[in-house]
Amino acid sequence: MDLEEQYYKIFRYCCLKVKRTAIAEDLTQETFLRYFSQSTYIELGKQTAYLYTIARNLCNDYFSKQIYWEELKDDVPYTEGDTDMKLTVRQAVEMLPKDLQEIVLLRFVNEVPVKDIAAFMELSRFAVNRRIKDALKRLKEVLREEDFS
Amino acid sequence: MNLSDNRKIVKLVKESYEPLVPKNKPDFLKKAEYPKLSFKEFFIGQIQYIRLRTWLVSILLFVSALFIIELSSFYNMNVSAIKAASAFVPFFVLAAVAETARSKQYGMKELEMTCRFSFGTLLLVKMILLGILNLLLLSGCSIFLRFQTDIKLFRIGIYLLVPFLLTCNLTLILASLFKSREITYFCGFVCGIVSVSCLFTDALVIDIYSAKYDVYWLLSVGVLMLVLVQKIVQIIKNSGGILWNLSLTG
Repeated sequence: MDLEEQYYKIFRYCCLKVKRTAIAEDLTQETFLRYFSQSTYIELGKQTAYLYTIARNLCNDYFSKQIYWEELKDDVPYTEGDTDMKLTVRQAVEMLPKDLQEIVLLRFVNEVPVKDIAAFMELSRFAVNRRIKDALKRLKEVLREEDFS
Repeated sequence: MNLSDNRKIVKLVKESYEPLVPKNKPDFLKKAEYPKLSFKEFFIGQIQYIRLRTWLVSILLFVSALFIIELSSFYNMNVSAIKAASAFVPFFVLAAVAETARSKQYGMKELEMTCRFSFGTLLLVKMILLGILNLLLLSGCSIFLRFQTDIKLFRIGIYLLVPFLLTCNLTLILASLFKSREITYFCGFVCGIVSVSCLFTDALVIDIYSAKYDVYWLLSVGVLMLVLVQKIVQIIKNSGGILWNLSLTG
């Protein structure tokens, strides 16, 4: 496994979840520390799904601790060099249900194989593929509404 | 832009999330203490887990095989020597089976606890190491036979490979059928049958070790090799791995 690449992808995943780059990076590092601490499991062939499982649980932990104390603000710096098109696409993704957002990020942005997404989300491959199609259909509709075609 | 093409949407989504760059990645990865054992180190390291008695038994079998070949060659230069060597070959496999069965018996936990490779990988590495040992012994026997007989080395190799591969296949089939600790005894029985069969093959088929049957020998090697690969892949797939301890992240 390419650690550098996975670090980047887990960071991106955490950013989508917690919407704060500093927190996302802390959670990414915590994910890898927990992953490394279990060296027995590292070469078992499902490393990617395992990493994402740790990351998701850590993000959920973070929310359960923070959400009642402060209002989260989106500080993810996508704005540098952004075009209207990119902003619109991100807005379109954010309009999707949470589970579809997660699948879109995992499959299209982080390029996680369907089998790993299925293991991570505890779904069958068929269900993952169906949701990917659903997400694409909804994105297409939203982007058309935004006069993006 | 034509949004009817799904690939374009995928590309758009990917590009829209690109600019994110983590700040502390190089520092973190530099300092992180993650397991750095390479596969080569792991592979070589497994040699020490093969018991000393396995090496000794294999060497003893090899020396005995050479001794019997030497004795047999007095009576009938070619056939007896080949038959004697063929009869010994299944027992090379038996020594390896006993070692691999030990791994199976204990589920290789003793190794899996201390390293980061899966049970399937460990099993494969151990089978490769024992396979290399067996092939070295076979090569030694073949070269010795070459000096004792007037048969070409390639043909000797083929004649010895057939009982070897046949025993490997039968023992692997047994290993996949029976999960009990007595698997070594079953395999011993199969090795005995193959060994005895080798002694009587030429009584059933006259001139079986002559050039006219070489095509069949070659064909047998090819088929047995294919079956062996298929069996090994199946065993590795079935070996699975330990389930993740998801409570870690709870």
